[in-house]
Amino acid sequence: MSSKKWLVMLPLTLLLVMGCCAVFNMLIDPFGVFGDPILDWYSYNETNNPRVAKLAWLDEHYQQYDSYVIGSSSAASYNVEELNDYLDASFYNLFVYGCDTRDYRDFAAYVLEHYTVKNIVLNLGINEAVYYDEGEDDLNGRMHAKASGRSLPLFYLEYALTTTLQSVEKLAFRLRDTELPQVFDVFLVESGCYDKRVRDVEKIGDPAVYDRAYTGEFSTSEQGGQLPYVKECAQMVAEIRDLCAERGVNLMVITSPVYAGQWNAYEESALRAYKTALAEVTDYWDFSCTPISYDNRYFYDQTHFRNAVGTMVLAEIFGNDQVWRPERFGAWITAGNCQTYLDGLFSDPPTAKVEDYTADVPVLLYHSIVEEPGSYLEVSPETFDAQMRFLAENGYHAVTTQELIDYVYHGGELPDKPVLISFDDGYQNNYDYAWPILREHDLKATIYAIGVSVGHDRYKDTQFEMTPHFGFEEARRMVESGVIDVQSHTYDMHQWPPFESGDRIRQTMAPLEGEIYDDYAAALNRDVAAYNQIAKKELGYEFTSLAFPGGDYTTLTEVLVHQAGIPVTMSTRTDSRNILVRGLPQSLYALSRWSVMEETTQADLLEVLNG
Amino acid sequence: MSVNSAAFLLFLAVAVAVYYLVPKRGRYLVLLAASAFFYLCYSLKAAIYLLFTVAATYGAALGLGALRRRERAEAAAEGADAAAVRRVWLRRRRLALTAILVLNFTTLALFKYLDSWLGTANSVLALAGLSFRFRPLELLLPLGISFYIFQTSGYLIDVYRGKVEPERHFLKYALFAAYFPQMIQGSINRFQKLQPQLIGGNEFSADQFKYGVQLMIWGMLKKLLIADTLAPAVTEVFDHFTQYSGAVILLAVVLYCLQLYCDFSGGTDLVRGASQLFGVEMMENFRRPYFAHTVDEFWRRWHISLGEWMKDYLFYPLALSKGLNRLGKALRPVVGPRLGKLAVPCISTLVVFLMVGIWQGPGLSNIAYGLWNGGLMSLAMIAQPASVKLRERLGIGHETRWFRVVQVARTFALVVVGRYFSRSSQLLQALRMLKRTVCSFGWRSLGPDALFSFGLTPVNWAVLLISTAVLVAVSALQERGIPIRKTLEKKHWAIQFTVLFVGILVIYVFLSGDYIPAGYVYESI
Repeated sequence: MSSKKWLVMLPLTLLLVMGCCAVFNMLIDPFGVFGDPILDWYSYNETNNPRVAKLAWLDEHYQQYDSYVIGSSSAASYNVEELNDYLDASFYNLFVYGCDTRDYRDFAAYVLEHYTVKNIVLNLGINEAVYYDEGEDDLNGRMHAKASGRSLPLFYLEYALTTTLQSVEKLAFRLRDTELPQVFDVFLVESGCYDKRVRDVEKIGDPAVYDRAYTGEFSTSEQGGQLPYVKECAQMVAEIRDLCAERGVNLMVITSPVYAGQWNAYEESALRAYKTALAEVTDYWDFSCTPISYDNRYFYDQTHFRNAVGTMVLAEIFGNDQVWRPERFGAWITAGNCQTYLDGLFSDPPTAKVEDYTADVPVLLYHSIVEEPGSYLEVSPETFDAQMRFLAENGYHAVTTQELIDYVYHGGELPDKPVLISFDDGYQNNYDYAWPILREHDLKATIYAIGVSVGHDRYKDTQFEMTPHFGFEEARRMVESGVIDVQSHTYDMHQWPPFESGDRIRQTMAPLEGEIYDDYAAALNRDVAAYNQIAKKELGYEFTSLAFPGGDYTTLTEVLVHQAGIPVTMSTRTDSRNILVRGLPQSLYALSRWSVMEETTQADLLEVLNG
Repeated sequence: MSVNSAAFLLFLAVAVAVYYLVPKRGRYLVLLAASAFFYLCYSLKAAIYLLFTVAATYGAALGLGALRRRERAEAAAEGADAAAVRRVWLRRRRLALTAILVLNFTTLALFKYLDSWLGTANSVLALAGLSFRFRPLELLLPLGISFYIFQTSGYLIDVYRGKVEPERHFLKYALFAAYFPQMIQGSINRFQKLQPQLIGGNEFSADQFKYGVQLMIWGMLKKLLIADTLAPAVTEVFDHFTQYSGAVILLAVVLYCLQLYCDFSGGTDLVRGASQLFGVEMMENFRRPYFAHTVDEFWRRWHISLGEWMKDYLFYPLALSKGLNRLGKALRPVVGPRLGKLAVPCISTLVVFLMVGIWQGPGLSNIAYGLWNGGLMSLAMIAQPASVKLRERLGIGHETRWFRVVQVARTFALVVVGRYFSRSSQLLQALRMLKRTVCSFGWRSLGPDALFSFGLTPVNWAVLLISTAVLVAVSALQERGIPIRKTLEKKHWAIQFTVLFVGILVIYVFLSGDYIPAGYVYESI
């Protein structure tokens, strides 16, 4: 080929390269701009640019929804199912991280114009008055041209001609995709909310442990911050208000919970001006500074309150007294009451005493009560009796898991010096020795029985002998006495290899090696259902608490267990105290349990009980 | 404006188009305007300093030329003692040259080394318990200062020697000093070769244009695929070497050799290719240095333009200087005739490489790097007869293939050791890393995990292995004397298209996205 021909080929090749890359980008579509024809992976696209990908999803699925939450990531924690129940609607959470009020207005205008809308919940944090009209330069932060009104051909061209590395990365991440969210995949597509399944099963309790785990997430901001975009924010809210009014759409404005570290970073005058400007354009619910603002356990990080707090916010708005909230949690603000409310807020900030909403509940763990203890799992009746007497005489009150649930979820009270006494496995000797002793000392205990072993003294498959387990008749008697609560140690996920048949033996609830998600989830759900079925039939209730066999579990185990509706789980770890926090279900997860043995002295017990 | 960016390619395309559109006699002005634009995009302050250097050296060259003319006139005058006249004028010219070179290199030192020296002085003051401290000047290091100072100094010496006539046209001279492709990392060009091409108003040549584009693509690929992939990983190991075993440190230094070669030669290819688009051939800077059989040969293949500069303007003047030769003669009775004869070249080599080390940077580690190379070459000169005898006694023919391979491997190993010094910011760091490599090699920690322990992902490794394999294959063919580009143009058009397509594809993928052009290692020199 002559050099001249080669030089003709050069620009043609460049054009061909650009064309190929553009087609590749359109097919893999890392931002969800072109309908993601191959991977159909909205969660990834939304993580890359939620402004674009969420609208792309809605354009395809808007018939499923009639109501929308609009806001930035501080609106992520409103559960659409709860909203649906309260308002008899079908909500989609159209929140977008890093969003500003200009985007809110564009979103509102777009959905109102193109879809049928009943309700719009508009959430405002503080950043709405700090940033305005940002992110358009960045492909990850750009609003869809359909909503922003910018040139549509240019919009598509830029996404087509962006680097193909984005597409290659999407393919690579696809190979690493798992059931649980990862940094590249943080959205729940159907609801539009963040997929917080991992953060929502983390154990919450000891504040020092939480601080250690999230050092840096709650760094104290500098003081004296200003809010430069109050006027623009109020203007955008007013435009959304008018757009809704024109179409008869119900608009609810919420100013969401703010962590005190962030709240205090701004000048009082700036915050007052912001709240006042909002009240001048619309009535709204204010949750900015409430007692929970002062405890970082109610927040994922400095700017994001937990999903559990979202539940509390909606319960306050819709008057659901089944959900605990602290005093002075939220207020309805109008132009008329705004100044009085703000005067109260700043002169007497709504703090709460930690002891009013947290409780330290140690959990003791026993297995067998036998005449002649031979292992660390066995305690003699005499020792057990002495230990129980010690508890009773020292003013400790044994509680049940239901009392813990009531305390955390519904505002129930716990007695002074609460302690939870638990037994694992469901041995006959619990019935023979423990129950009478507990009754004698007016104490209560929870027995975590293995469903498949109830009433048996031989292994189900091999008929080898095993320590006898009490039967349902005994269980009923104990439960009816009000002394014993029987809960789950799984139906059959605590197997012992030498005495089981089959090649997939489950010693614990953790996934088997190499087990794929679908198989594992099915096995775990089957086990939960089997236990519930037999418990319901024999004892009249479904279980609400589960002790992990061998103390072994993974994050996925926790996710599946809580998805199955079990609010309390027990581990065998002892590395942190069980600090129950009202309103936070996570404070009932993987509770620590301290094994009590024959050798355990009163001093040891006191150390466990007092921390 | 980084040269490995879409912005530079666009700028280049516009400059090339304008260059060939204007009449031939005005074309050098296009190059000058493009150079000014390129440099102003970097920094106005640096441009002012560049202008100052250009003006000073322009004037100095004219002055040297004038001195030479007067010398000729006086020597030719009737009744003049030509030899005496020459002696007088030689002294004057030498004085003038020395003055301008001192000015040139002092300003270079001011920009490049002063802060480091002040830092050392402060350390000494602290050790002495004194509270006084020098304040660092924190001057902006003008882009390419080491290159254009050397290039203009070489020109002045040539004028002084009467090898070239001084350029009288200021703008044409300014173009020689500030021609933009050589501003990033050289090469250090010679006036005689470069200037006629710059001002000649070159005709468009399809062949040359094609070769230029191909060289640019090749250079960018080396930079993007290998150098930029390796840079963060190498930095990680050098910055946190205490956290890594000796084996990983050694691997990182070997990878640094690859990174530096691809960075420096890739950058040079890119700018030489860009220059070819204007029909201007810049001096070659690399000739597959890792195929060298000796350290001496390595330096004839690595950064050739600096090596040539050092040879012509430092080594020969030193080796031929009376003082050094007197010293050599004086040493003969002490060390014997053979070693005495070698004293002059050995000392000259050591001085040259000391300067090469200092040229790279102000730290002691750079000086050690220079002395390591100079020392090796001096040692090779001294040990050569013994080495030949040993080879003969063992019956090893120096042309046998395996012996050549051993030589290449040995040379590479010696270069690797040198890189401990040239990459480390402190001499102590280099010594500690060497000690760790030898004493804490960590055989037990060797394994696939070690490969991924310092920031390189499996994808990175795959890219590196494929790219390096292509690089080695191409280099091996070139070593055999096969001209790659000429061979390629004889292949079927589909093969040529595929090669071009892949090259452009890779560059497009990098440059079309969020790629932040990584600077060149030698850009900061």
